[in-house]
Amino acid sequence: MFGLLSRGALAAAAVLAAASISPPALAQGEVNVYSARQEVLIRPQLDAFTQATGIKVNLITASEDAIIERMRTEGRNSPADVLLTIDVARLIRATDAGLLRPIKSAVLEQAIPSQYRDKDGRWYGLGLRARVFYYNPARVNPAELSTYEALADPKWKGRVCIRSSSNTYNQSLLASIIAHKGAAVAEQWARGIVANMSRPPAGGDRDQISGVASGECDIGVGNTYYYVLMQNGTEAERAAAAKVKVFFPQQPGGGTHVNISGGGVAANAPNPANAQRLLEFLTSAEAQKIYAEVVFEYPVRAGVAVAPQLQAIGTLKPDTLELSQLAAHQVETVRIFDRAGWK
Amino acid sequence: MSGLDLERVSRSFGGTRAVDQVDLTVRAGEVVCLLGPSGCGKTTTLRLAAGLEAADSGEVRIGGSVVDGGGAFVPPEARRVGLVFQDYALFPHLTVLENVAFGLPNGRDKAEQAMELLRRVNLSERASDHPHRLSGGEQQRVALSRALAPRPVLMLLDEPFSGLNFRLRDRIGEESLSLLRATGTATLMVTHDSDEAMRLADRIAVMRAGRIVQIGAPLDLYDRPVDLFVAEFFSEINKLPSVVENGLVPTAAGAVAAPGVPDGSPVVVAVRPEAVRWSAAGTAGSMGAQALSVHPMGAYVLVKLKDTVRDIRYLMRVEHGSAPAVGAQVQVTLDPRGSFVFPADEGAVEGR
Amino acid sequence: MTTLAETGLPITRRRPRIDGWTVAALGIAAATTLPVLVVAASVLFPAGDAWAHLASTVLGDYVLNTVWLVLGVAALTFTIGVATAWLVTMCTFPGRRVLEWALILPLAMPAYAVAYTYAEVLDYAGSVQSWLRASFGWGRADYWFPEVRSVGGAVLMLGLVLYPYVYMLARAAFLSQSVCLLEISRTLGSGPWRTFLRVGLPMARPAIVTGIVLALMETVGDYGVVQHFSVSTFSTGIFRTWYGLGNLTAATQLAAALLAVVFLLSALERFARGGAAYHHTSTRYRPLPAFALRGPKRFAAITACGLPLLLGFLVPAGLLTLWAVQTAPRVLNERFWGYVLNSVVVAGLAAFLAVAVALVLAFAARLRPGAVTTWASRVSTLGYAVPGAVVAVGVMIPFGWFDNTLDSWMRDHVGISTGLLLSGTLAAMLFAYVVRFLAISFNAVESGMTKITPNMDRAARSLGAGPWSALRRIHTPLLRGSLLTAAVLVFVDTMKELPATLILRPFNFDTLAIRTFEIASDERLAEAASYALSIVIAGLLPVILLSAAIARSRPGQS
Repeated sequence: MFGLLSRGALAAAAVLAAASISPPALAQGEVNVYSARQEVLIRPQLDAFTQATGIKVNLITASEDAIIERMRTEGRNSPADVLLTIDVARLIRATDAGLLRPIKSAVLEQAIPSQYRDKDGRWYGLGLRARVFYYNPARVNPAELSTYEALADPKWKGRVCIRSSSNTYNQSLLASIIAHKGAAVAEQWARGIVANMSRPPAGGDRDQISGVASGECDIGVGNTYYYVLMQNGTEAERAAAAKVKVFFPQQPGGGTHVNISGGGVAANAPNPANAQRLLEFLTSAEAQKIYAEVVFEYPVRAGVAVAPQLQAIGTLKPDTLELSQLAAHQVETVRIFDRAGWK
Repeated sequence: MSGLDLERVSRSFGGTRAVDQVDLTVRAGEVVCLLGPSGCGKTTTLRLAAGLEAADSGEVRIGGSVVDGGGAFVPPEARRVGLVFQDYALFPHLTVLENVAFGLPNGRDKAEQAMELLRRVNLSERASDHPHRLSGGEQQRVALSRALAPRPVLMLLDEPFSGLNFRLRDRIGEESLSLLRATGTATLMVTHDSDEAMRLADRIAVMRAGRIVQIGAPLDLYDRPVDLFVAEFFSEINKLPSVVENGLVPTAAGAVAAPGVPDGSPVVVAVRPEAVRWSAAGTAGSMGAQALSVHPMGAYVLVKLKDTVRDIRYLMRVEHGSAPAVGAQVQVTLDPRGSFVFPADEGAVEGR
Repeated sequence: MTTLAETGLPITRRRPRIDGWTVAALGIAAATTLPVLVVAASVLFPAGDAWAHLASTVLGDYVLNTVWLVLGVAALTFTIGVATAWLVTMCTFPGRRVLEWALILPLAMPAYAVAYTYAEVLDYAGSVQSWLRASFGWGRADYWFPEVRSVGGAVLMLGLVLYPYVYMLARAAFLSQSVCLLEISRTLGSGPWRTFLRVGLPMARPAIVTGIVLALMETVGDYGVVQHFSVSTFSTGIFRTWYGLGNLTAATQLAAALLAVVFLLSALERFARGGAAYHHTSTRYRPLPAFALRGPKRFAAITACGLPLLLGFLVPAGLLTLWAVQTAPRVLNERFWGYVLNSVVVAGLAAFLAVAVALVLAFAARLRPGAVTTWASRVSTLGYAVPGAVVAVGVMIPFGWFDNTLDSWMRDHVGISTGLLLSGTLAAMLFAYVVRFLAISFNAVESGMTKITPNMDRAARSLGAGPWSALRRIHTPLLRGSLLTAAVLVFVDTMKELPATLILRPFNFDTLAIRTFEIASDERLAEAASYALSIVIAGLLPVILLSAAIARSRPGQS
């Protein structure tokens, strides 16, 4: 049996070597992407890039901190050209670790408003995601809704559905509250939300929408695109989305909390020129349209239309907070959540 | 008082009657050996007594009360029997003391009692060892003590000494059985070793094909076997085919009486080796033979003989020092005490 | 007088204390322990005030939930695994023949997939509760329903898919037990039930404990289920500390603490065994008696064996199928078959490697019994209790260091760049699998090895076979069954493995597990179902083969 196994193993290795592994992708005409955004959500843009430029894209996806750690251990020999993340705090974490290089690109600077990119050109926002309230119109009068802070009011006791505080977007939201109002108020807020929860934090964003739809709670907190994705989802999801409405809460400055999905060029990128081309392509009108229509994010590029379904739920007026502020407070958020007992 | 009574007990497996209408009694303090070749049903009989098998028909009684039969079946744990297997089957996860105490009711003096039993078989120092550290003889004694601990009415031994070397076997066998006799326990022991059965049993029951062929005291069976099968079980046998004439069976080595067998019947004369006698050539009524080979066995000698006229070979057993020289011409006679006449049709099929 | 040298016979010096086998075992142990040691070494580095923060806030929760999880899964896998194994082995009742092998099936189920399906159906917005509310007109406060996203729910999910470890090992032990011991116990006054408790169970103890330890190692290393159920355990705490607090050092220190506990537990088990030996004292194998169950007992046995199968396999597999049917046309494309191929080939390679390494390790321990080889095997199997992502970090750090150090040296002295030789290769990924799953293959191989009498080795040596030759010609064929078991278990686990694959894989390399996870984490369960189901199907065939092999394993039965 041993002999048989060995032969099988050799044959299998040969098949693998031949079929699925591309040779170290350092050759001309390629770009290597380390992405924290899942393949299904980024592939359309990357395919469009290859089609437009003839540059082949090699992709690895993994969770953000893991893939940043991989870049770090690979050091100066890392094959990564571009790092894509779905959270500004992680982008800045990679920047601070020296993993991203500054690039100067008139195309990028022109396409991306300055609050959504690093002033030294090490990271760039590519899409916007807004954190909103989902509510049950039968039980909640939208006139009662205003700011994120107001959700901590005792009148919502037992009526709020929200995800775990391990969720990046909740951390980002709390970071924005710290930035606006200070840590003490933020902690007060976190405690208030914990007191108002209708059940322990659980599930994903769609689960919060389902929670509102099924009557488990009256208000849920989540990102806009999940609502639209549910409208296009299974029968049950469509039914749930139909029972729920979206409200855009305000920050003190008068805007809704937004985070970005974004990217930067790796410090040790073997194909820096291609990497820059990819970033520039991702901010082109063509790619931004894909962001809008596949992922239902808000495009960062001015002049690219928001997807009609997204437009239909309301108009986003983004918070004007400096995004680097979110990163500055990110670690603090987890500590506050821990202290507040937000699972 | 009787320990075990089997009355017309039968048990089949598939189409085979493993135990067929067996009647057997073992009295308190008595040792009965079930003797037979493998597959004869002796182990099944033992298992029926233990309650590890249920009888298809018949009745099993232990200590006078019915444990199997008439719709009743008492499970093994309620039968008050002890059981010792050939490989002892000591519980490997328990110490020697825990093994012996296994069947004792929970109580303050449980360990005390077990220790007492171990002392009786000189194993008290090994009490806290695990079985795998014990020698074969020690394991056997532990197994016996364990079986004795709950004071069974009936002790069932399944080839209990065959795992021991033969010197140890004699000594431990006798020690074990004297212990059982002293406690008044009825003992049923299964073996395929006739020497062991002869030496240890009060009575022997020989089984074949699920039936008890003969039962009796060891010497009864040796001196008066009911058929060739039983005769062959206890020693090598010289088989001399012949035909009855005038109540006598003529053989080359002289005639043997065959009372009650009609003249003209074909028979086999079965002669134990020690019933073959020799003398110097020239005695009347005897057969001429030559000693082919001589095999000293210690206290006695086995001699292989060949008839000088016909092609018949004999096995003879004589005292040490009284064997003929190899190649010597001798006269052979038969001692009627070790010569038995059986119908010829039997034995041809059933011989070993 | 001629000296030995003059006779021309080959002379061997007395065996040195450290020889090739010890070195081989140590080499393997060192390699497979490396990632674990990288994790453990984190305790030497300062982690800032993260510990003070954890201790004052969530650490208590992590510990408490982990303890509950471990106790619950231990109790559940023990109860289900042992009870079903005993019933199926010792009794006859309708359906036994099917249940015998079907009870292993949950092994092919990824725990996270089971968790997804049950949460989807059983939480407040799920179909079951929605139906109850609609049927009875209940509101939120009108009824009580067990919360599936809870410690209890996580225990149930993990218990349902992990009990087959206990079932398999317990069943193998029951199949090989001596009937004589059970019969002796009966004649000594213990009824069937007490005989099971006093003899059958303790005799099978090493096998059962091994099964439970494997289940618990996987439990403490699990991230998918507890994360989905929002149960804060050590495992989720590790990731929260790493990702959220951005403190990888403190995260690996948490993992190291977890390792210490697992190590302590397995040491305790060894100690508790004391001087008892569990090799068989009886060599007679009569066919196992089959108690024919009747009436209510029969019904109870069918229920007891059918329920774990139903809940651990049929229900989740059924739900997955239901969802997969809706999405299959979208999923079954060219890429899909590429994922299948990648998954199967990688799992096959990992199985082969993990078994080969386990074989060498176990054989070395047999040839050179002693503290060195014992410790080597103890430590190198700890990787199973470490969450896959942490193992991946433990692989990445030393590999990256090696690659870059070599590269720098070559640049400085030879003038060429060697780049990354190990990092980001298939080899690194396979290495991580071996580290993670060696515990499974080693346990299976070792338990098989102990059943081969040392006289077999001696006979082989006396016939001129050296150790390698003996391993190849004697042990390997005799261990066929154990090797097969080991290979199947590693294969199935690798098919399901996610985090290490995700982090360590080469470019453009996708597996079924990665697809399942990525799509499920995008909260598109219906689509993820197709991928999850194919993991189950790909794992099913070898699992069924394994069942058949176990059924044939009773000594004396061919």
